[in-house]
Amino acid sequence: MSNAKKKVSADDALRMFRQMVRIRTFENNANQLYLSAKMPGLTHMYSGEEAVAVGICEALLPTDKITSTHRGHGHCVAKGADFKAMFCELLGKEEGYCRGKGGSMHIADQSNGNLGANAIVGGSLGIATGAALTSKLKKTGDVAVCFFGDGATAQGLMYEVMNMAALWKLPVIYACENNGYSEYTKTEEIAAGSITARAEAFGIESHQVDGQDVIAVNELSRTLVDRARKGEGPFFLELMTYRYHGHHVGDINREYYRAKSEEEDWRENRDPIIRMRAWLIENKYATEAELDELSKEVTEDAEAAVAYALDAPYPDVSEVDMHVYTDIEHVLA
Amino acid sequence: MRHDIIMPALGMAQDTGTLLAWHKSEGEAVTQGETLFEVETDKSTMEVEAPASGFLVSVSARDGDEIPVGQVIAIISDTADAPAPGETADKEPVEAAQKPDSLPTGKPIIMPVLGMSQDSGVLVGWNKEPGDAVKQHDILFEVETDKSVVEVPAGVDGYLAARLAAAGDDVPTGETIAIISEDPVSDPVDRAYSSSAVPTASADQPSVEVSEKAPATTVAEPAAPKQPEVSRRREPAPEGKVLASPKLKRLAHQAGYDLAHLAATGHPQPFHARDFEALRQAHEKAGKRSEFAAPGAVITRLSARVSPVALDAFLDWATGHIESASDASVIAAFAGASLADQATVRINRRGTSETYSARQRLSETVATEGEPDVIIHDLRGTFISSAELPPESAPVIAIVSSGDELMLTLTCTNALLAGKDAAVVLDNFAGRMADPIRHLF
Amino acid sequence: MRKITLSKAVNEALAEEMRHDETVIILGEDVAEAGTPFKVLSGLVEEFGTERVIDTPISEPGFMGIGVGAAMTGMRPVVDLMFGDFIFLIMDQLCNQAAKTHYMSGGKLNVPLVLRTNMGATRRSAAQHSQSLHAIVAHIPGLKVAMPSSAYEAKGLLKTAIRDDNPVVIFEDKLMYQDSAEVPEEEYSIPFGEACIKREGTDITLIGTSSMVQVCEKAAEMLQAEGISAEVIDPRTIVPLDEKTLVESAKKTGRVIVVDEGHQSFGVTSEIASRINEQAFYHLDAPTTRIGAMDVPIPFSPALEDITVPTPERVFEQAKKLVSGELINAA
Repeated sequence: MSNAKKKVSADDALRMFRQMVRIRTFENNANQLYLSAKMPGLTHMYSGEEAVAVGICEALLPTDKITSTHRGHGHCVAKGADFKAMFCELLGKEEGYCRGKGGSMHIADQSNGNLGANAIVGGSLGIATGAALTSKLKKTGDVAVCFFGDGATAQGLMYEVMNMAALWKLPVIYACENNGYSEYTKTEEIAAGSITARAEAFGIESHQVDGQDVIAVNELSRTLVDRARKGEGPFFLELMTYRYHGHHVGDINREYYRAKSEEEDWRENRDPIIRMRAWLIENKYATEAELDELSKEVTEDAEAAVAYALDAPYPDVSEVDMHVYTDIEHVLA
Repeated sequence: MRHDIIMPALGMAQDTGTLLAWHKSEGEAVTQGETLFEVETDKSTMEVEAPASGFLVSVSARDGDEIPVGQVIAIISDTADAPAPGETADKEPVEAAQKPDSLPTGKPIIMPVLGMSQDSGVLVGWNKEPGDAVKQHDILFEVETDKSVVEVPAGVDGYLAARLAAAGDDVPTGETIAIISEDPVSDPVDRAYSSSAVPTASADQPSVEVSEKAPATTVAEPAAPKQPEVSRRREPAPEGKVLASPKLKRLAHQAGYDLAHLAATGHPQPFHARDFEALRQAHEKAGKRSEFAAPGAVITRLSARVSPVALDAFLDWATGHIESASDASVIAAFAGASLADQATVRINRRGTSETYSARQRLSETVATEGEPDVIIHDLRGTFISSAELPPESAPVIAIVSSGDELMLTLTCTNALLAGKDAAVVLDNFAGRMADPIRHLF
Repeated sequence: MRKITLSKAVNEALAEEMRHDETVIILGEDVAEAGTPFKVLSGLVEEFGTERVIDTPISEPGFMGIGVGAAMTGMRPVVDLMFGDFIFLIMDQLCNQAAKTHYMSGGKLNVPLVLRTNMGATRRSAAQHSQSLHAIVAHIPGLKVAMPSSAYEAKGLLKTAIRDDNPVVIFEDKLMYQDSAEVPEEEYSIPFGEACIKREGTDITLIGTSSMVQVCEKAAEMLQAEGISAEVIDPRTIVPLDEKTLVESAKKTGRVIVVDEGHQSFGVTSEIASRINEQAFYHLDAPTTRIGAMDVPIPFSPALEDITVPTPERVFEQAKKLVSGELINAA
């Protein structure tokens, strides 16, 4: 754990801890909803990668933009989303962030600058870069962060937009969450050379950071976000992390591509929440009892949100042809 | 603290999973994370871990069972004893829902066939509540079919033990829509129609005898807009095909002209809107009226009530004294005479259809063939107590027994019979039916 | 009234909208000093600078994606796609991202983006620079599709497109850039979803899109010489489609030919013919027929290329058959 006590206030540290616990708790509930056949569709768990989303989003302002991925619940929570509207969206309910039209893989929360999760791997690289172009042209000072996985580095779009972002010095941070697996395949089998070298080829300043260390991620992010605001962007981050679950919830038997012992090692020895908890206690920012109380609060909050979402109404069927166009209320009317 | 063990949803569109094998047996202690059972789904096999530590109890699924996702298959309990029955309430509704329907015993009442080529009827409403005592002649329900609404009596005495369709349901003919039991029932069934729920009534089960299928009439003009079920049945023979544009077909339909008449003149096909004048002339030449009322045409409906007493006596007398006379020929003679000195009358009764060349003299009213000038549906002696059938190629008169009276209902379009003429015709016919002696003079 | 070229009309529309609204920017290959290979954008970079008329690398998916992101966050980008054929390169950004964002977000996010591109064969550009791919785009809910048929429409529709809060794809016929038409000096715009009856007639309706409007108008002239009165209608936008005007005309004349430069199968002609069949069937005195581009890749050789596209002569011949009541496809 970074020895960064002086730079991180107790408030900041505790907020980051709480946000990581919120993500983990959200995912545990989402997993349970899915396994108990209460949640339709398909979902991808962020558990294990919490320090990445929280470390970065805690360095951003609400007006800063992010784009997210199919494994996007963590980014959404970290950027300030509300449990109730998220669970409602996961269950396809009217009160969901997207009125039930997006679901797990398309949650967007524009009130907090989340331009949406994207079910096309690498699909949002252009969108984040475009948001940075807006910031530069309108001089808003906003920074855009593009979250994507190691798998997305195989998409050609990434090279096209990094090229333009570097040419035009756009305030965008490409945050590559390297969890070691591109769906069901080891990253080393799909990526030649080094990940960071890809960005360096465009002259983009790149960093590799321990994605299980929220303090380290946050500290680096604060620096880069400030510099991007000043026009020193773009930047590229490779965050070394791990997903505890399979590629998706149903990916249970995965020993053909990943050993159980490896999973146990990450869970037991590199878990970002366990590490942060120890760090908080060690630095006397909180007591065991206080952190237990915090976790309990979050659990209750999540359970209440789940219960609320389960009881919430589905959208009226008349909504099916709404929101196709901004200016045509019912496109099929 | 108890934990339900459910069949997990592991695939994208997975409804069930097959339990391959339990790794723990009933009553055995389990630790969180231990493999509890194996499931096969989407062609892959997965081990499912225990979500909590405790004892495996209330195991309700066996190896090899295929189980809906979300269903509780066991419980992890703090003790090795099975929880009280109330605690396992979760899975009760699942079992209940899977039980086959149990319906009260009694006589099934089916959706009757009431019109031509009728596949289904819309239940307009019930006249009895579930559990009500019903008499054979009580009106049980009303059905809408082929533009007419028919009241259908119960047919048997008993108690309305089940209503298996609701007002507005479109039910295929022959499907059971109610059950009348001999004895009162404590909790009668009442629900909307569902096709899978009730077996189709077999032929030997009592049904309401109201069927009066008219014979299929062929039309020369094939593809004019009609009700779908009619056009299906009236697939024309290839040699009878007339090639015409949809626009001309519509114009012909609206005017009541038959394109076959134009085809008969040898006018070159395909016909288009420009051939409308030729069609009109062909129509006038043929002196015929189109077989069907145009959609949207104004339909005249007139009703009259008469006592059947004199008629019944007259029919007895006539059939005993005039060699060629039958109920049908006598009524045909009355109808024909009401229309003109000589007219062709088709009379449909109990599924048969006869056509008469009707004259004033009963002995001269003889069977014939050809297109009728008036069509009679004689529904006396059926359960139908009210009928209003749409005009066909000629005005239609329905005769039904309604209480102690006969109800005569005439329907026609202006093209077939102008309203004032229709009144004269029906009045004339009703007069003859009420007082048959009048016909003889 | 003054006459200007379609190229000039597009240029004016962009300049006017960029003056009105500083969030309007142009993104694309060689849009700045080069003013595009068709010189449509000449002079804009001089007025608005390289910050708003932005040259991009040859990275169609990249600059389209950047356009989508910029549109979602407050800009009104006009993305310039040099050839309509390159639409296949940007399908994910156009159809998975731009078209669906408003819907997937339950109405919270908008993508006010214009994709300006072109269509049209007979320029001897062969199979990868000659396609008319508007039907492919029109198939995707969430996109609007405009097809100007002259300089007048090109200006009015582009101004409406830029002001629209939805992604709009506008297809200009690349052979028409130098064609002149009357265009008012004063500003105007043309609403979407309003067809234009270019010529009134009573015997047959000719529906044409983009340059096919001229083809239909020429055919109508030829028909008039034969005593046949043809109505010519330009839908102007195929999404939204002014179904009412098309169906009313079909009901009036009872005969319709739909002419479009996209491939005939599964295309715009099929869609329009089908809607007319559904809504005007009992008024039709002849089968509604389609004339589209041949279902072959566009060939290079002039001898081959010229026969792949609809011509006034083909429309004229077909119209005569329908009006004379000849039996078509009745075997």
